[in-house]
Order: sequence, then structure tokens, then C-alpha cells
Amino acid sequence: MSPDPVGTTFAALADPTRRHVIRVLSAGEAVSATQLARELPISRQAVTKHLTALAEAGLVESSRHGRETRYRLTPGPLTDAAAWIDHVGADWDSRLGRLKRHAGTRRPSP
Amino acid sequence: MSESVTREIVLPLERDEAWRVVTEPGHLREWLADDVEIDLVEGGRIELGWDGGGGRTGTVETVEESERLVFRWRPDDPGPLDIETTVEIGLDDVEGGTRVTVVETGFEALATEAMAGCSAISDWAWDMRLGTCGDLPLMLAA
Repeated sequence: MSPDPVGTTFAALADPTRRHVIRVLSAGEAVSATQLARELPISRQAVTKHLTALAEAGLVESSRHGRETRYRLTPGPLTDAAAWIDHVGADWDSRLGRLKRHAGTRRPSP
Repeated sequence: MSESVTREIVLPLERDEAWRVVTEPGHLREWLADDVEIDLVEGGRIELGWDGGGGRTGTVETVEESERLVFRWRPDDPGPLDIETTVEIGLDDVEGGTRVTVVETGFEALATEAMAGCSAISDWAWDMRLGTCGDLPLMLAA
């Protein structure tokens, strides 16, 4: 059996600092732990620890740039979920559009 | 964790009429699915099918007549999108009729599905050109 992915993902996202890291990374650029530490109220060492946890959960990946390690968001897991949720919302829009027509609805006055 | 989809509309109907429209198969076939079977009791089964293919099966959780219907559902076809979510349809009186509020929850599991290497969702996501993750991590863990 593979390790429990639910546990891994949510353990990784349960920590507010790690969510903050994810948000910074969601700007899209690969950044170093030093750069991240400048944006967060914690030490570079603490940032590295959080990045390691996020990498283990498959949420970020690292690459070497000279002497520096840079981190970026893994494009898969979170964007996939966001897109799917948008899709679910669009489904409800069309269902409720049909419901409105079926019920002979008019929009309420603003 | 509270990631959800919420939509609402106002129907020019009395509450009891609106309740029928959101619970009776004859009405549900007009807007929700092409085939509808629903056993409108707590623990009852709900089966939906679409002519274009696909279906959803689930369980009725809460029936509060003219107020609230809650059911869980999931796609019949096994696959990466095969997660169970909960749909709550609430009715309340507003000027001009009855407001219907739909709240679908349970999307936390999507992150997990996607983590497991969900290429179908992935292709879809990139087709939609959703290249950033926005506030989702916060919402997922809120």
C-alpha cells in the first residue's frame, strides 16, 4: 500500500506558514528559501523545513540554479482541484438556468 | 475544510411549489438530469442519468419538507473524478417568490485525487489554462 495521500496532503496544508509559502509560490516564479524567508516572519531554516514537507507532499518541487536551490509550486494537484471546482460551479449554473426556465422565473428586482 | 460551490436563484413560486420542483422526479427531469429516481426519505437512494452518458448515484441525507434537501452523490463511472460530494438545496421566502440555494461541498478529496496522479483532471485543468493556484490552499485547509 502507498502512504495515505489524504494524510500527507492535509498534514502539509494544515500549517498556516506552509499555506503562506504556497501562496507566495503561487505567483509562479521559482524562488529560493532565502527569498521566501524575506516574505515570511520566520527564519530561512524554518522555511527550508516547511519546503521539505511541501515537497514530500508533492506540492512543490526544487531545482538547482548554481549554488542556489529554488522552489516552485508543482502545477498538478492544486490547480487541478481549482479547475474542477470551477467546472462543478458551471454545471450548477446551467442546471439552475434550466430550473429557472422550467419554473418560468424572472430575475428578482435588484 | 469548507471548499464549496454555492449558487442561488429566485423562483416565482410559493415555497411548497418550489419544493416540488426540486424534489419530484417529473420536475427534476426538466432541469437536473434526464433520468431521475429519488426515494425522498432519509437514507433513500437517488439515481441520476444523462442522455449524453454518465450517471450519478447517491443517498438522501436530510429531508425537511419545503425547507431543505441534502444528498450525497458520486459519479457512477470509476475514474479520477469519482469523488463523493454533498449537495444541499435550501429554500427560503424572499420577495417575489422562493430563493433556492444550492451548496455543494466535499471537494477536499479532489486535492487527494489529483495528488494520486490524476491525468484526466490535469489535462482538463491545463485546457482551461488555469495556471495558478490562487487561494485554493487556504480554502482547502480553512
